[in-house]
Amino acid sequence: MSLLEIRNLRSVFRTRGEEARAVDGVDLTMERGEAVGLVGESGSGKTVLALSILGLLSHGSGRILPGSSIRLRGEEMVGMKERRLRQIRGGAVAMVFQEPMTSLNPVFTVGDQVLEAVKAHRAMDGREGWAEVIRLLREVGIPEPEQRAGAYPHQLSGGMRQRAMIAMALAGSPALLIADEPTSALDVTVQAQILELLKRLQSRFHMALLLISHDVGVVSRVCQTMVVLYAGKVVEKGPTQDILRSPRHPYTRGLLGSRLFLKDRRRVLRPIPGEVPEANAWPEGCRFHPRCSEAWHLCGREEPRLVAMGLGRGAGAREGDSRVVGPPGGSLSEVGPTDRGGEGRSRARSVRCWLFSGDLGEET
Amino acid sequence: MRSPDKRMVTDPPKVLAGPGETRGGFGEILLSVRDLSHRFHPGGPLERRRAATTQVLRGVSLDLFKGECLAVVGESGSGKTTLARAVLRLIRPTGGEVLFRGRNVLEMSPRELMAFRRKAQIVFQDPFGSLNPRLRAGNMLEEVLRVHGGSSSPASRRERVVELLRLVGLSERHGDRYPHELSGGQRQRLGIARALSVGPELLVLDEPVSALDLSVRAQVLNLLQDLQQRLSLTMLLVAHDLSVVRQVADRVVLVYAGTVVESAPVEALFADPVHPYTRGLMAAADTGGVVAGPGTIPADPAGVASEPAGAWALLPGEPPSTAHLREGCVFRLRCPHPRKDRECELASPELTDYGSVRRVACWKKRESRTGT
Repeated sequence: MSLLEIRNLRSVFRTRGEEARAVDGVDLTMERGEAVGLVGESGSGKTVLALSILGLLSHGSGRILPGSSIRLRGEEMVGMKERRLRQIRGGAVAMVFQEPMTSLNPVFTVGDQVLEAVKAHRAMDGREGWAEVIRLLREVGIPEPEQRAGAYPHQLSGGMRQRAMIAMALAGSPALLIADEPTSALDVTVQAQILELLKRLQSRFHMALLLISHDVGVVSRVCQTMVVLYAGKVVEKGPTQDILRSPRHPYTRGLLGSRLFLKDRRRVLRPIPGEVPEANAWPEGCRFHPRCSEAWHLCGREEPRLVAMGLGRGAGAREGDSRVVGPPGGSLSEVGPTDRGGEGRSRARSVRCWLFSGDLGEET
Repeated sequence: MRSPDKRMVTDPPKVLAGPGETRGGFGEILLSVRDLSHRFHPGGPLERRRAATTQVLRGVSLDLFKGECLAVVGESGSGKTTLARAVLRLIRPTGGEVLFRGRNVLEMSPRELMAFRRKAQIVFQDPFGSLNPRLRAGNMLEEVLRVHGGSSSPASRRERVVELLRLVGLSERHGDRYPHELSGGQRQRLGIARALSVGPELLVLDEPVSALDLSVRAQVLNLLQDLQQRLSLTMLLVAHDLSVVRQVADRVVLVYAGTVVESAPVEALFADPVHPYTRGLMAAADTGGVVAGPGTIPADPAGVASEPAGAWALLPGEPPSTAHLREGCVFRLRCPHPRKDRECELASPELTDYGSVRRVACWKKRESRTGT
């Protein structure tokens, strides 16, 4: 059994009285201890996806549409009772947000807030609980945790605040940590530290990590598997190294082509024209086709499905169901920590693009 | 600071940018910043009474040559944004000079200042926060033209508005939209059009692409480079992202805690960063080359001492709050290799020549150079 199995997730949120389908049919499987990077620009639906997993969407102004399924260790989370959801939230699944200052309560000390998280999920008395708080703060690299536990959020630097948020997330010993742009609000040198920390924790506790970022570089530092989201749909997924080496989807190629490097100046930047469309105005057919340099007549009419890429060049079977993409059920969950690198590699590449559909030849 | 860097004033330009070291080969200095410093009282009236001040800039000097793009790089609290604003006198720095074609901007009369603002403009980081939400894009541009344009007719102004929109890759119909009806990239294009509307020579860009998505960021960078060439603009780019700087800048100045720690032509800097801060910044920013780099988890399950991306170690700690710095090198608390003698603690190193084209403020580098 996989740790997390998302099938045909469709989520909407309300904006200016209209319902916009931010996530539209996403399939995603995560194994224990696996680090998956979810890459997408703003408006791709990546944050709505994260909120859907935590069952936080209904609290605001959105909802998960019927027919969606999110299973955590086999347990269906869509339509789950709030009581049970609360046990899972911060317990088996924890989340770290982009902006630690707004996620921390300004009137309580950092230690008290971590303590609250500890007590919510574990039966501990005050003394034990406090010792656990100090242990967690030390774990996330906060120096002098005994003193810092007494500090209020505004007394800590941005990096220390994010570390405190991570300590809170760890309080329930999560099997899955969702980090939504955890470093975007931080300075470059601090970003690198937080990424190293996440990588270390994931590895040490054999914790699954869903890292959401607009930055391919951030994801490539930490995650074995990469999922590229565009306009509410997965357009490409596979081992990070493979995708970086040979991106298949024109959007992924454009995204990687927009990156800049330190090693040399790019002679010409070839950006993707246009911008991500609004969630209530997705184009017909392939959602990327208006921006795609390789689009042809079919792309504007019919939507391509996510197909697994075989070993042969572009010879993916046209299987609409991405079950062909995931690993054989449960077989990877037993893999020990030393084989961790193999998990990512064993996963097939899959792409949602007419250029890589197996039976394309016959249709033309 | 031991002493302000007076020597630079009389130095020939080659000290800062040797011929052939930069793209154009620049001669004329358009803007000079001399020993600029700025303190402010943080917080509200209560803290003000305590007379605690934060020194944001500590004697920054730099020259901007006509036609070049000079990047000022630093993390939050480095003073880079304060520097950008002081250059245009959007704030009044507490010390130093800003010379635009030899005239001190900080002492200009209101009339002179108005003329200066037609020569020097700024593009802000957040286009949404810097555009009037109640004005349509076209009307906003027209207003700028009316204020700065003298006696031009309404018809000619409208013509000019369309011209400006096209210049930045927008179309005429975008002129009828309110800022909230534009996307982030379009808003930033509009911000650039606003800055260009008065026909400036100098464009100050304060983190112009950091709020934009990756695919849009590349579009805007292309636009800026294109505009720089077509309009022969001089640009002062304030940024924290080294890869952006690498792409567009000719020369780079690195600031840390309000102090310039290194300045060099872009090629030299990226080929061989000298100051330990520059190296740390590069290690942090380097997310690998074309192929993933250090993508997956290291074989060591603990992974504690995982390999940093580049050849240099990741820096410990965080950018300092400038209020707490007293004596010594501003970087010493995070420096991976301070000198064994206590020089780094006792005095602040001056920015001195290092090789023919760069300048570095580091006691260690000075020691190693005299040693060899």
